[in-house]
Amino acid sequence: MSQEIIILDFSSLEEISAAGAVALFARVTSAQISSGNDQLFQIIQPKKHNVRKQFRGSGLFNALRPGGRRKLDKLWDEKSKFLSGYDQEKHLDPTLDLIGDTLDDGTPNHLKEAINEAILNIQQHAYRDPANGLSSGLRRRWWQYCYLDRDSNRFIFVISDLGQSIPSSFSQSHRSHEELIAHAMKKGVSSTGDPWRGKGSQNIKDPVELEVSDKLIVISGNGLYVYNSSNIKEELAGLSYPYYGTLIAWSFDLLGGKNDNRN
Amino acid sequence: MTIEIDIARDFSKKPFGRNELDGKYSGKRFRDEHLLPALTASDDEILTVNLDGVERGFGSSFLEEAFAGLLRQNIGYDTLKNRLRIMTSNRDYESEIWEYIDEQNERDSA
Repeated sequence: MSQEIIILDFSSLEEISAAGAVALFARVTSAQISSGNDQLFQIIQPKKHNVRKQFRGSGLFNALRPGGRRKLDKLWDEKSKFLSGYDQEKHLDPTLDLIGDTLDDGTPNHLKEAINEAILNIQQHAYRDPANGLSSGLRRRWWQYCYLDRDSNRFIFVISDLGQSIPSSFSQSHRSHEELIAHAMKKGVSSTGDPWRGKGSQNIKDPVELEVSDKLIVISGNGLYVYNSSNIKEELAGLSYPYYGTLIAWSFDLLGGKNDNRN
Repeated sequence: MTIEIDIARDFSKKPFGRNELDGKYSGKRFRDEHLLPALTASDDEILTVNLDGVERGFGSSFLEEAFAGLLRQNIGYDTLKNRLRIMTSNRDYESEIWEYIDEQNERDSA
């Protein structure tokens, strides 16, 4: 029996956001792993020379190319900007080192703590439901990307899981998904119901707190949440198409003049 | 008399997570293997915990479970106020720890 091939046609691609690229990386590689078919996707590269150059130069093409778990493990050896981890003891230090190298000045403590808690959330909550149909190679797995745009002096770090979304971990079905994300991002709110838990959301918000042009974006289920600081009302929006999992992106303006006083 | 625990030296330079499911060097393990024995070894010795020297900072889950979790293990609030001292070059961590201890005490008192 011949195996199906899915063609991913990027020939007309003009640009892709960091969050979109991570979502694609997660979906494509998770399908490669769960199908057991490294050749599941055939990729047609962008036609435009500059877009194709960026598609390859960013590491996205290499991250999407045919392969399975070994390909993902190899990305760590290659110090790719697109990476997928499943064990904090193995993958957290290289992640922080990569960010530190990218930023020249090392990884700010606030961002270390935020990534620490984001990965902890993935380990503790995202794949809590064993019946979510994921193959063993995908349980506890996350996908990440970091990028420094030297022209605009903007640094972006994106991390995503493909587990239980934030809205689905709460039973308050009368609230919209974006409202449930906003609820989950409040300090002291935890889907476990334990009153002493739920402190990590503050860690996740802290890195963008002081600079007005920094942003935290959370996409989960049909909800979009954008946070800037405790003095500014968060932006909420519903999404037409659900994100099956949770994606978190921090975007920093490196010329914002912010000092991280935890360093 | 003072007992000193240096997290980076005596426990790990990479503390992470709340409990053993999160990793080898969780807040629960630090509490159970270092803080609780030190606090129960005597009734009046000051316990100084040095937080400096870790490589990844501290997530709130680690700090909450390690320190506020002491109250959930029947260490009294007054005992902590009288005997626990936090040494750190980052005062935010000290404030955060006491905030979690105070919050747990408020819940216990409610």
